[in-house]
Amino acid sequence: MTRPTIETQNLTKSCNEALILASLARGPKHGYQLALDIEERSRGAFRFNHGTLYPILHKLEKDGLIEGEWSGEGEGRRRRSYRLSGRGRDVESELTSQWRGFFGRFFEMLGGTPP
Amino acid sequence: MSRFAETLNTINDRLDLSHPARSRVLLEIAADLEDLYRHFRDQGLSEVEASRRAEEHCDLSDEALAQLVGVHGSPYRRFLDRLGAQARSRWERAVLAILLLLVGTSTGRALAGSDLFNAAGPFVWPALACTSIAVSIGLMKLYAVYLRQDHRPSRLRRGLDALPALAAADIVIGVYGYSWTFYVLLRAMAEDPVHALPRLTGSLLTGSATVVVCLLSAVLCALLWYIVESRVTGIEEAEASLLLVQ
Repeated sequence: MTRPTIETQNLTKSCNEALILASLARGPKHGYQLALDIEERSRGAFRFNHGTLYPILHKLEKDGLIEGEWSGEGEGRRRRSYRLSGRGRDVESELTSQWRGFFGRFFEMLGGTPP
Repeated sequence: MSRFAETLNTINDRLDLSHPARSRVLLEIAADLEDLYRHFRDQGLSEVEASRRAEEHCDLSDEALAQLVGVHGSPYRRFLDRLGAQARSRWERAVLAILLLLVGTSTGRALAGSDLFNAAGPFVWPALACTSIAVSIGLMKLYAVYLRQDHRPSRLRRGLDALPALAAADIVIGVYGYSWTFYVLLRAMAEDPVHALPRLTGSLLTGSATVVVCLLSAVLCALLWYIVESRVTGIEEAEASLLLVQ
């Protein structure tokens, strides 16, 4: 996989991936925990419908940026927990700095300063 | 049984993925639905409202479904998806027709060249017709399961019961052909006892060859049925266990 770059026609996808990777950088989570964490930490600014979360998670896992693991085998209900992989950690840092740069330039264009 | 069995069933019907990716998605959704339900219950919502909110959160849009298929689909599947729906259908029909033609031609040539087939009586033709139908159905199902990866049990089950019926028809035709050959022989022997011995040898050969060809055809039909049936049962069991999670 090539290193992630932010493209204007791909903003939502890149933003969603950055949010998920950033949330997982703070510790492994199940799908529902991930969505709640992003919603709570962004104070409701970013809300993930779980339906949109699965394709992103599965894509990130396929690209080797996150690792999924089943847990609770003996309890009748299995849940899948996700954690960042080593490569995912690098990509997460890269994306974070890219988003900072992107918003810096964005506010420059608007003639203001980042909040 | 999960309180969300109905929702999971609906998602399952819309999910055009093969196993194990299909099982994985459904298991994840089942677990998240339950976790969300508990989360909303902890927030003080009623059971009905918590279920409704959880289902709302886990609803998979058509776009999300297409993305999942894109992530998990095989290269062949992705190739088909890149073709338009109409073109894809034409492409699949063409591949299937070529496959059937190749199998049919090679089987026909092998049978026509064998002594066994040449020695058999006219009853092998209806038996071979039954077998051809069974092979066509079997190949279409195998194509759907392994190449197209269409794992919707309702579609896979359609027409599958015809395979054991066709195998049984092969056996009946073989037994009937053998009996008929002997009936004709005995009548001829009764009318002309002098030439009975050479006729007996010829009829024994024809009758036995007919039975052997019919039995081989029946075995082929049964084998195809067994292979497809096992796979479809496996898919159904995987789905049933998913929907009974919790």
